[in-house]
Amino acid sequence: MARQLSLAQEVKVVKKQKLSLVILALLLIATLVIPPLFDGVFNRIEPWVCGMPFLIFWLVAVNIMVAVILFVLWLMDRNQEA
Amino acid sequence: MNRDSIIAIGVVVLYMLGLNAWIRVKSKMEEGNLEEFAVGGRNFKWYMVLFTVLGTWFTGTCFTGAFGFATTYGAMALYDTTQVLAGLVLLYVIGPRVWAWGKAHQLYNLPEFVELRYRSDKLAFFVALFGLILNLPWHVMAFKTFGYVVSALTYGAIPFNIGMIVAGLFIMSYVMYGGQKSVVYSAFIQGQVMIFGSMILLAIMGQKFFGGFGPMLRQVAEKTPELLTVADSPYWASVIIAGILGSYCWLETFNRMFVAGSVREIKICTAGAPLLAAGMYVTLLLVGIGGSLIPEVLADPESGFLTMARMAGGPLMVGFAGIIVMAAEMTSIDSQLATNSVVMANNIVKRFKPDLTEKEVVRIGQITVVVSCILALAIAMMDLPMLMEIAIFTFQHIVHIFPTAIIGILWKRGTAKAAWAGLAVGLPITAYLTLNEAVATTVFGSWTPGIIGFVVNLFVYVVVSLTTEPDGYVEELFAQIKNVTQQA
Repeated sequence: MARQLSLAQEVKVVKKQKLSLVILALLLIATLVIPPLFDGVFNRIEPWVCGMPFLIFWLVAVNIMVAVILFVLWLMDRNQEA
Repeated sequence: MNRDSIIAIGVVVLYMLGLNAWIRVKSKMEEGNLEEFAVGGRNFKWYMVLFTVLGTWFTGTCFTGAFGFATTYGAMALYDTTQVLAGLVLLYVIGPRVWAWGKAHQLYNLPEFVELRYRSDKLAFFVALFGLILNLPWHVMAFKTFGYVVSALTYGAIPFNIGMIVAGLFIMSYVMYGGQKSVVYSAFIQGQVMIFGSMILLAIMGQKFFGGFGPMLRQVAEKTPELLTVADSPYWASVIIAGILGSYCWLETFNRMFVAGSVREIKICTAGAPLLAAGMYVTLLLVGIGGSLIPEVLADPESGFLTMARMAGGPLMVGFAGIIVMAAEMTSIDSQLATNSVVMANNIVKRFKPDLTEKEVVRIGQITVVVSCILALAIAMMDLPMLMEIAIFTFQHIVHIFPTAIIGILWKRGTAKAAWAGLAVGLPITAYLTLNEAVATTVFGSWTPGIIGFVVNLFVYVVVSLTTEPDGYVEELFAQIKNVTQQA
């Protein structure tokens, strides 16, 4: 019984973590679609980061971070299934 | 036709012959088998689904129109990469549910899902008709792209219309032959050609013309710094949001979820797709921005990808670039044709002739493929200056399916009455604002009519859902998801 409870709790925690990751991915994408935030922080050339103007760098960074989040989500799903 | 043209077109012809042989061998279909014709037998592995999703998503226009857009308007063109990425996050969320319902109820497409979810055949009929009508301009644009590529590769020696007809016949033949099964096998090869081929080509171009991507961006910053930022952020946000909302409302993209063998295959596909999609598309558009530094590209931005390939590596490389553009376009239009044919046969014709056998439905589907191709080819041969406007018009309107389809997947409370009410109020607003651009701009600035109408549609959908009686049957439907995914 106790073991079943802890398993149920674990599933709940993983579910919460997965939801947080999806929300994080959406928040990262939101930095590109909320005009005041986008114009105020990201829509600029300076500073150059990794040889890229800031906007291009941020776009590339969001793409990579979201891709990593989706990969981690898949890993969590795989572990959960196992 | 000169020697260079013969080499360039020869490369494309060899590729098409090889592709045709691969499709014929791999996608032989059991005669009259609707499950195979509509969803390829629903048993494909993640790597097949991955390239089918990417192939459907990226059209040939990405290498012509979007490339030219990046050359002219710079970073503004990168909106498309964000919407692709968000679309893949959405796939992760909705994919497993859609697949589970599809498996349990033998669904083939979006209208069938709508009928299952809302128990309304009229709503499903509307979605089917709406999707088919909005898809037609994209068929026409696809054929125009084929004509354009063939004509460009041969310096006009092969006329535009002949190029369209040859490509049209090729696609028509394999879609009729194996339906969705052919489409998936075609996309597996063509998706790889498009993604990996273009990345190699773009890396060569970046190195050859600018000495790498860093120096390229530095040169753009010196000469045209305005290309490295976005001038109109509400418009930018608007097109990204419309793209995200519309991504799974197109009949063919929704259908991609049904071809997977299990939920696991969809999830692996979603984990791998963003890196490939973003890697290819960001690189393409950055080279497009770099194209603004080359006078030959600036003179005709939409031909920029082919022009740069020709300048970088002569006829062989331009032939290779032609294959990439054709592959991107073929993998989009073939899935549209295959999906639409089943929607027409199984959701429209069968509604009026319910006693049709499975074999007859497949036959009607195959006839639909032929009719669609002939219709699109005939329209594509006309002089249509408004075609791009019509395509944008369709994009503005497809988002209205989102509350009915996608919110319906995530929210048990949504009802059929709410779906009808949202569409009835939201669609006319978008149509009115699209046709009266001056009013839209004065009142809503750069926010597009699609987004304005959508917000109203969504609001009405939520309010009406909360004020109408929930359908107990939907509870059971949602409970099914867990069982089906566990069994799979």
